[in-house]
Amino acid sequence: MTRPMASVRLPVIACALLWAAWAGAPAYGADPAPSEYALKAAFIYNFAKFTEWPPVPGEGAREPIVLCAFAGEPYDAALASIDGKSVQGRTLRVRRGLRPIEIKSCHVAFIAASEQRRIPELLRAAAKAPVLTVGDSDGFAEGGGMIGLINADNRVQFEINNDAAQRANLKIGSQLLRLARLVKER
Amino acid sequence: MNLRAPILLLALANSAAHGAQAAEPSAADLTQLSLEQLLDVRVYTASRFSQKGSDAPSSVSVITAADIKTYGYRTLADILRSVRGMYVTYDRVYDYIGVRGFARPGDYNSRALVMVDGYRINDPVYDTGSIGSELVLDVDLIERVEIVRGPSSSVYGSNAFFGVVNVITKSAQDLNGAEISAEAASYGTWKARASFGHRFAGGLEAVVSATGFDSRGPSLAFPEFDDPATGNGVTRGTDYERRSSVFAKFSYAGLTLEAGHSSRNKGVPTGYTGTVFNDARNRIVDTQTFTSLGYYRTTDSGAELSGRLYYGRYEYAGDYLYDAPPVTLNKDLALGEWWGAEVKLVKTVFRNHKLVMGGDFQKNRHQDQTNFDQAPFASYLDDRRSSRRTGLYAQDEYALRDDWLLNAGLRYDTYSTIGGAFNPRFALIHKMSQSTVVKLLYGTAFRAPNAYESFYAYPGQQIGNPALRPEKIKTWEAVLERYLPGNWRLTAAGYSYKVDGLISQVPVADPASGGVLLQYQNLGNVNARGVEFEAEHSSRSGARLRASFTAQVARDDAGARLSNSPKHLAKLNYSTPLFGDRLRAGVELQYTGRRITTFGETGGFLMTNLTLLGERLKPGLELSASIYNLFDRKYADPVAFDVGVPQRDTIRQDGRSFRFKLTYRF
Repeated sequence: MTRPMASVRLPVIACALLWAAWAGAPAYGADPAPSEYALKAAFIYNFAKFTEWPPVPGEGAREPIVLCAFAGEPYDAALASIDGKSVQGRTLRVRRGLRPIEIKSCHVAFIAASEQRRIPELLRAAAKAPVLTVGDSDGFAEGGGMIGLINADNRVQFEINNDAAQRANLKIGSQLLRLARLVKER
Repeated sequence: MNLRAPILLLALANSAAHGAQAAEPSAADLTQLSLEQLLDVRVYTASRFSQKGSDAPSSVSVITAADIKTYGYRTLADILRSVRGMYVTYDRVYDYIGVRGFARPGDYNSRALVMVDGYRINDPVYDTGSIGSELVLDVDLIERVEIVRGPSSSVYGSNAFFGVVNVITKSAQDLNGAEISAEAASYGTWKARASFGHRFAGGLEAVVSATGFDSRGPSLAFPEFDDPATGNGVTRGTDYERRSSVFAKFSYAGLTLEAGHSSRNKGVPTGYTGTVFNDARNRIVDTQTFTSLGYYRTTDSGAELSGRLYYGRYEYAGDYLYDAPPVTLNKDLALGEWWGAEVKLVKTVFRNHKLVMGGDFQKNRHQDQTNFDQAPFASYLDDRRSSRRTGLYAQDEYALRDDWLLNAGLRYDTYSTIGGAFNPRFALIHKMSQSTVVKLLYGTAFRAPNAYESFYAYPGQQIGNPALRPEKIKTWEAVLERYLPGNWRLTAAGYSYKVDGLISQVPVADPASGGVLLQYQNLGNVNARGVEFEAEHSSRSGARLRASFTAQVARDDAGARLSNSPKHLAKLNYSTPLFGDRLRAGVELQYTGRRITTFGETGGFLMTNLTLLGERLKPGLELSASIYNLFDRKYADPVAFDVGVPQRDTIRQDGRSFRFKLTYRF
């Protein structure tokens, strides 16, 4: 008795489900899920929010927080959208196209995986200067960087090498340390 | 119930669709979220098309360590049960995988390839891919499980018939220190585990872990033994289980050495094969050992080279008491011992071709089965064998355009026992838009008859069949994946499977006694068709949802439906943070439809499990409490025809039970 019912029911359900899926379609080509880049940019914004820089003589509380991006084109839009945001009462400014030697002038330096070859050079250039180095290549934090963004299970997590931060006189907030995977330098 | 599940899914799909009007999160929007919420946001764009962990262009589910904690999973069987389209059957000794409507009674998980970090655990006697408590690895050491549906013989060869279950263990960094864990559960069950993971300064990574488990087991009632002579069918102290396992993994500079050992002593409370009922000496001991040395390297030109050398050993020892009379102890033993080597090269050529090439070799040194009465000694079976197999495969992933991907693979296997077999696979993957992917898949697979099916024999119970042929399968599948605003993912899949010569256990006449014997034979064609729907969602508040519905039908040549093949399956997993982020509640609902048994049918049932997890109550401390089968539903699983208990075709499953677990990290 149940057989005819079931055979009718199934295709109906299938069609209804497919319709439901299609009906909700966003404009063709629009990306509905946040991109990895947008998400990582949001993380970087939070890192800037919860880090304490040593006071610099002559640097006023109104000066912007400078985020230097050593990253490829995929990050352009994501970083542009956090440019101008307010961080600790200061304005976040994104700067791009810097030479490695200029890294010391940044508060935060983001070094994307695409710049992997330049990482040692950039980290050397930033050594001991109060620059929060953030990267998304494998083993970034263990390789001497301060905060590494990692992809895990379709989510983005982060690891912190607090020794490196302390050497640069940076205080990474407990809000970050609590949620991070803490790593030691190799 | 049949109607309820689809309606629920429809509701989910609709609410997902309506979410479309909401604004999309850009980086600027995302800055409004807290760090905790950011950690929970799923990203699709970058990893959507990367075939992480799996070479299979198929329909894949991933269960993570977080899911294992959230839903209180105790075994790999618990994990598989929660996944779209899968179900598990338990006969109070082993758990059996059911996938795409196939769970043949009398089959020991030979049609799913189970791997631990790429090492295949299917043994060469029964081909068993363990998923129950006898698994060589403690479930707490699992980082994630990738479940690939459909045949993957074009990459993995035999056993990758209905699917591949790849278990990936935790790394030294995942553990990052020491961890001790203790569990107490219903039926006098205790478990303790100590694990340690550390990455040393020199780059050496080490994970070591040991587990002990002891369970008295429930009292059980078996109506087929409801007779004053057999205690009215009630048995106590016979469903016990004791097990211990150790695991170690060391990695250094591209080399990974991994080893595991486990031993499980499980009482057989069921009077299986006509053994003396309610006697605690009926038991099965499964002992497994493996060692695997892997190598992985990427060359300067971007090619990935990997290799592995492995050794495995599986020992089965069954103690069966038969009232001859007098009561006699019968020993049923098997020994599988094997080693092998494999190499694989992944290389991108001409920018749009990704080539995968590889080969493997396995030598089965022992595929031995023996059976004898201890005293007075009488031998019934002494079958000693060895064999080897070699496989070569190649696969090309060809990016026709940005939005079209063609994946074609071919594998050739040759067995010292059954000769050679070619298995192709084709997949066409089309990215229709940023949010929609369509996959069309065609594949074939085969499975060689194993030593047990071909050669096991015991007077009055079973005879061998050396003439068994490999079983073959041809499959078509279409998958639609759609990502919707607000972190929704919808999957719809339809499939058609055609199996030729399915190896099945059938009763045959016993000329010696005039009774019935069991024998494995190649059946004719079996056709299975089905549809699956799944919705997954993770919300900003930290809630996660996974819901699926499967409708399937599998029929043999004569048009009869297969046994132990539910027409409907529905699953719902929902977890949400409570009290800020202090607790997480995980609710799991699983509906399994009616299933045909040897003589009739066993009813559908809805299983409800509930887990409360406290991960952040105190630093380093993690507590969880679980209730399984919350509403104490009575249900039974179909079991294989048993010559010794011919009237039985189902076995009752556990009622409501509890588990408390405490883990401390330092």
